[in-house]
Amino acid sequence: MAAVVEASRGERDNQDQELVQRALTRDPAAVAALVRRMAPVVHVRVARALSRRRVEARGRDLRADMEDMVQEVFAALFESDGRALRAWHPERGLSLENFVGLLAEREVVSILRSGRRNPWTEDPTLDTTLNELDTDQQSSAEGRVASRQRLDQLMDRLRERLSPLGLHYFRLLFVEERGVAEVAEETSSTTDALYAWRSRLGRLVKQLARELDDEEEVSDE
Amino acid sequence: MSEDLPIRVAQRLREEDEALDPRLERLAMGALSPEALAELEADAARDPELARQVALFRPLSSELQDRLTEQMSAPVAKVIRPARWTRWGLPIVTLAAAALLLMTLRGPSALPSYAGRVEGGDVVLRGEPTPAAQGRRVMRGDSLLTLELSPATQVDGAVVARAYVRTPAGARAAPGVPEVDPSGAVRLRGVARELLGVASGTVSVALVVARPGALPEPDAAFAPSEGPRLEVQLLLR
Repeated sequence: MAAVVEASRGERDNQDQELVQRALTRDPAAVAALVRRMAPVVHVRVARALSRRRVEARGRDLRADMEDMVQEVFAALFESDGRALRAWHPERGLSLENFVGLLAEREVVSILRSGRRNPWTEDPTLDTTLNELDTDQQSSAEGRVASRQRLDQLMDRLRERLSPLGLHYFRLLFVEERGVAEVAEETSSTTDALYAWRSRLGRLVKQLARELDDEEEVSDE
Repeated sequence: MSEDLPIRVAQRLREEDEALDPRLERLAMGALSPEALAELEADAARDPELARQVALFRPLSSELQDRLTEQMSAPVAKVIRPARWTRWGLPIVTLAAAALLLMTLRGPSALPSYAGRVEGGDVVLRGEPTPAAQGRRVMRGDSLLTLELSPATQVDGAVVARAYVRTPAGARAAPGVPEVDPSGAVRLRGVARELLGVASGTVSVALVVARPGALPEPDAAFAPSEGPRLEVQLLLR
């Protein structure tokens, strides 16, 4: 066999699409190759998500929870004939790794928000933690903690609500503060589309904040 | 809610990113050098919170990845989500025994074709980007480099792999040791200069897969051959 010449981004995307297609036919070698590539990516995203919630998870074996969630994420990727994986379109600017990583983030949020699937459902969690902070710390610190918690909740809602592409745009435009023209070039989109995304993302964050407020009011009643 | 709420959410996300020790992600990816890993573990010994994070980010076991592969390869119309999937010992053992028996009866066959993949650095293509054009990657010596060779079909029998480097001083085996997956896929991953044993300059790298006992001598690793081989040229800075 001749030497394999390294692939450009486009060629790599084509190879990855072929790999995904073969894996979705349950070809063992393709599944093994996909798992080997994606497992560390999923692991990192799940571990980061659990690490953010380490205060809530005091005393739990996060390693075991992480491993279970990694498996849940892979199940989500392959279920319904791989509908989630089939939604990957590299021409929209997301690599396979990034696409799967963002799906993993969304799946973890979904698991932790679900009473049935959340492994921490029976544990004392956020409320206890905040109550202890309320009694132990100064009011300014309480405000900061509450503010951070609210922002975390908002980010989780965004992860749940947005597609991987929407999350990618949020990260590029807001978190990394990159210019619209630069993002348009990188994602093969138009500046008009990106301005529309930026506006839509801003409105969505505010809408989600209102929803959280409404839910709190209902639970207080 | 104020108008700057999206910006505050983004700022919070940045804080989160920055709060995480950057070595943890590389730990999970299996990309820390032995020295960096030892340093991280020493730091974790002094910091219980870091120790908890190191436990969380340690690479997934090959057993877990095998289980994932097994489950995702199952020819079922719908993937079932068990509540806890971590105890699947018996099916794996049974499958491994069956595979071993099959190999014993049939012996290893010729290697299938392999696809190559390189990750790390920026590609600089010279001339037309035809299949024959060799892209040269420019990268920092302390950047992550990944070279992979994946078989088109499951490999029957054992394979071994080795990485080689060629500099103006000649060709030699690289210090980095490739991982070989049970499927026959091979991966070399880590900090470039540690994998290659080259601090800077132009270097050719070849990753070669072969049957046990059939790996080439360093000079032959860069010659055209029948076996699976991935070759890339790097400029380390």
